[in-house]
Formats: sequence, structure tokens, C-alpha cells
Amino acid sequence: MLKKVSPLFLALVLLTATLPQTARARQDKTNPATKPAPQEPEKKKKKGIFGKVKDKAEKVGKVAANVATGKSSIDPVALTLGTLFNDQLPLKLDAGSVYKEVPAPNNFNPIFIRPTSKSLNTPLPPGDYSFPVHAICTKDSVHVPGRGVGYKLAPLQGKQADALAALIARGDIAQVPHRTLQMIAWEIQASIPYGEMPKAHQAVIDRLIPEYKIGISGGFLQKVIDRYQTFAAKNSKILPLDKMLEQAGVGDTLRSLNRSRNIIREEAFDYERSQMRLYDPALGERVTPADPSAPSAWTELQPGVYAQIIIEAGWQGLNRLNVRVSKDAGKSVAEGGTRATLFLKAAYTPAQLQLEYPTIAAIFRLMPRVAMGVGVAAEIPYVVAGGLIAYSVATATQALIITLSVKDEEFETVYRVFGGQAQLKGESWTPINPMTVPNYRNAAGLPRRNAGTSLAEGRVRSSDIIQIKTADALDGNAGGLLEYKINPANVKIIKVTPLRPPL
Amino acid sequence: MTEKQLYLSSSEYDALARPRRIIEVDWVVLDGRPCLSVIVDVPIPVREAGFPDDTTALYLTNRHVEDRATFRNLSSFPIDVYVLIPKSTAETEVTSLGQLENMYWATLYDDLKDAENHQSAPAR
Repeated sequence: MLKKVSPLFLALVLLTATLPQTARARQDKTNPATKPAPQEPEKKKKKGIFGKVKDKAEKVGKVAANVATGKSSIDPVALTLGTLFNDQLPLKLDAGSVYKEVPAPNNFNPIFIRPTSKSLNTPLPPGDYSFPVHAICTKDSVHVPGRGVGYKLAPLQGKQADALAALIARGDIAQVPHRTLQMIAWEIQASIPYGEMPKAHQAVIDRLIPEYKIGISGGFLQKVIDRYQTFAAKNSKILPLDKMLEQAGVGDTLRSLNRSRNIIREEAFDYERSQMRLYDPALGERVTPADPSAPSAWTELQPGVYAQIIIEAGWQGLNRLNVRVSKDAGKSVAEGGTRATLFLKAAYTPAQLQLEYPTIAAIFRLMPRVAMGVGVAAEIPYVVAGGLIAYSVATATQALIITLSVKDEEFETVYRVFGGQAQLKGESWTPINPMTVPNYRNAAGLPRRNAGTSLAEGRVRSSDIIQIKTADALDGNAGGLLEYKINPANVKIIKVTPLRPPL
Repeated sequence: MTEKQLYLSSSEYDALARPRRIIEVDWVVLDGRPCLSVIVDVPIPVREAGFPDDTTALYLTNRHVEDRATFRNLSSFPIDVYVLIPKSTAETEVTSLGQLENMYWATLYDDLKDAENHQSAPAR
């Protein structure tokens, strides 16, 4: 495997891997590209590489001297390399890019939408909605978010942002296991070239995101190295590349990429083993908010469309995106609404055709395959034009790529905890396996007369789900569990398991 | 206060399968959470759970996040609620949710027939 990696690339990895932790650069406040993301754990500030540069200023010429003495903010070569590095980053984390925060809407009372690939073009008239969404981890060595952690939404940015968003969205539609998608997403983020990925992962990329295959075929660091070599050929006194990147303020990012890539390679692209090492044991524990009643902020996704991400199962399962579509979201068709109106004509009377409201696909930045005209497999009806990312508000937790969960399944698996006064046949069920929920009784708000001694698993036709709601918190009970209202006659019981001890 | 005639029943728990008519009702706010303090016409069984007597005095609050506004305004029915009772009979005045025990899940109705039939909210 290593034979496929260029010597220069290896040299860079070795250089950066051997950099002492104390050499982490104090970032130049004048460099806009190096603003630390708030989800980063606080790092101990040291004198760093910038101080060392100052000591060697006389040797690296006038420009570097100006950097060291403060006359110039940064070496132009370092700036160029840093800019190139940032431009080529597969995923750019910038918590400063969040959408405009808005006050929480009054009387938010959402309709739960469970999108299918056929319903994505449904226009959403003014109203409140809630969508199931996946949250994909973006960063190792940062806390894992637990239920109720506050987040703010932002546009997904980075050279491979579209590839990542498309991978997750289409993988969900194609029912590729979440852990496979997460592992490939980590590989792309760590700049592991397509050719180095396991055959099984290459096959997923070939199937789901063939149009992005070329983009992820070459490690982006090689482009940075090539550019550096161009500079080095003209100036023998140029600083080593790793120091240049330190000076450009991307040293930490580079080290993080190298660490992730090394771990993934050492663990042979195995999800379980990789994730155990990618999450620093000291930081990898799940964070839950002190005040679960203070959820994520509302932000304006597009004019008149406001959204709030609610973390429920985190990266392990489904979460929710609450959306309010206001009247301001409507665009006059006569004034150049951009969407085809065929489906609007089917859904609305002519009198209502004056305004065109965004579709589910538009809110989640999905576009019909035919509109993009790209060679996506016929089974995948949508491509992604951008995507959403969420940055934690107050806690040191991971940024999360947010993608809509699209299910075309006719049946769903549901669970019910019962016992004591609570019978097997009841209306309240949940799609989340209770055995995967820490302190399930607390999350579900189970009453005392439910002894929690048995767990039923059943299958229900999706169309038979009457309502989807969320358990409210109650005196120390966190709430937050997704609940389905179903006529119990419509649930086909698969199995009933005794619970020892009871939940 | 509400002028509507309210009923309480549960499709989940046999003890509350038969509708109770709510004969007294008042709003209280416990730990910032709106709750209905109610008296029902027929006691609900709690002796099996170790309480000295079955009780007609209950506290109700919304069970789902999405129903907060609906419950606060009693603007549409049915509304799923937690049925809470004081943990101690010695408590003369309940001032916090911590003094209450979550005993049952039930549903609040403004129509007796719906309560008898355990009518669910229409699909949305």
C-alpha cells in the first residue's frame, strides 16, 4: 500500500508526524483563514513555530523578517501555500459561516414529514415541518454529541463537500449501512485517495458518487507539495514545507489530517477499530447538555425558510430538522420562479399558482438528476448541490454533516417497552431500538405503572403510522425519544423479549 | 381556567380505560411548566403502587414537545398527557414537579364519545 504513495508525500507525513506537540503554532490573528472553530477543544498556547521563525529571520530573507518583526502579516509564499491548502481541503470547518440566527418561532407545531425519493419535489406551503436527518461526524478527537446538544446550521464547504453530502444522501436512499458511509466519509476527509481505499469502499463510490471519483482520486496534499517545489526551485533558502504551513496557520489541520489518515491505514480501514482510535478516549465520551430545554438555535436557511437541528440519536441514528416555511419564502412564478411548475399544477388550483414555495429537495439542497445532467446511476434520483453542516453552540462537540433521511421502505421496524399495567397492545411505539438508548425510561418518559419488563419488536406499514411525536422532558427526565402513534392492530409482532433487569 | 368540559382516558392503561370526567380544573405552573391541576369524578387506582388510597386529584401536563402550545391553550383535542400525583399524601401544596410521580400516560379529550373510543388525533 505504501508503495503507491509518493516519496514527497511520505516525507511530509514524517515531517509533520515528528513535529513536537509544543510546536503548535499560535495562529496569526491577521490571517482570516485560520480562525479556530469553536468546537475545537481549548489548546494550550505555546510560543510555537512563529517564535522560532523570528529567531531565524535573518536567514530567510527580508519577507520572513518582516513577518517576524510584525511589519508584514505573513510570508507571501506561506500565504499562497496556506490558501492552496485551504482551497483543496476536502471539508472546510468554519464555524463563522453559520446562517443568520433568528428568534425561535412562536407556537411551532410541526407536521412530521417522512420523505421518500418520490416526495422530494413536494412544495412546502407556509407551515411548520420536521424531517428525519442523519448526522455524520466530521472530526476526530472531539466530543461526540449526545441528545439535546445545541447546534447551528451552516452551508457545507470544502473541495469534497458535495461528494460527502451526495455520498450520505444517496447511501441512505440505497440503504448502504451507516457505518460504511461514515467510514468512507472519514477516508475522504482524511484525503485518502480512491485508489488506496478497500475494494468494497471503491464499489460504493462507483455506485453512489461516480461523478466525484476523479476528484477524490488524488491526495490534495500532493498539489500543495508540487506548488512548494515550484517555489523551492527558485529560492534555496525557503523554509521547509511543514514550517511554511505552520506559518500559514494550517499546521493543526495538517496534523489532524495526518493523524486520521495514519489511524485509518493502521486499522486497515476497519470502522470499529478506526473509530475507537479516531476518538481520543479523553474526549470521545458523549456530551449531554446541562440544560436540555435550551436546544439548538434557529437560523435562516434561505429567505423565509427557518430551521433548527435537534440532536436525538447523534451520529448513531436519526435526528430531526425542524423547519418553518413562512409566506416570505414564496416566489412569484410570473416573476421568474426557477422551478418547473408541473408538480405545482398537479397539487394546486390555478388561483394558488401565484406563489412558488420551496420543495423538500430545495431546502436540503438536493436537485433532480435530470436537471444536473450528470452520469449518476439510474437508481439514484437526486444529486446534491451543497449540503448542510452543523456547528456546536457552546460545547466542544463535533461538527456534523446533516443529510435528509429518505426512506422508500414500505414497512418499518418499531419497538414497545411494556409490563405491569402497560400492555403489549398499545398505541405508543418507537422506531429506535430501546436497547441502544441509555436510560430509556428517562428518554421515553415512561410512567411508573409501566414496569418495563418486556420489549416487543414489530413491523408496521409506513402508511399506518398515525402520528410521529417527541417525548417532552419531565422533572429530570430528558425526553426526546421519537414516538409513533399506531393502531396496535396494524403492528405485526415479530418477537417479545423479557428484560432482565427491567428498563 | 377553562370552560370546556374535559375528559381523561387511556388506551394504554386499563386502569384509565374508562373515561373520567374532569369536574374541577385549574392551571398551575411547576418549575416553569404549565400543568393542569384537576379533580376527576372517579378515583384512579394507585394503591397497587403503594399509595394509601386511590385518588381523584391529579396533575396533567403535555407528553409531547409538539403539543406544548396546544396544551397551554387547550386549543385542539385530543392531547396526550402525563398523569401525575403527589408522591406524598403529606404534601399540602405542590410547588414543583419533583413532588409529583409520573403514574400513567393518558389522553385529554373535550368529547365524551372520543374519550370512550380512545380516539387518536387525526393523521397529520
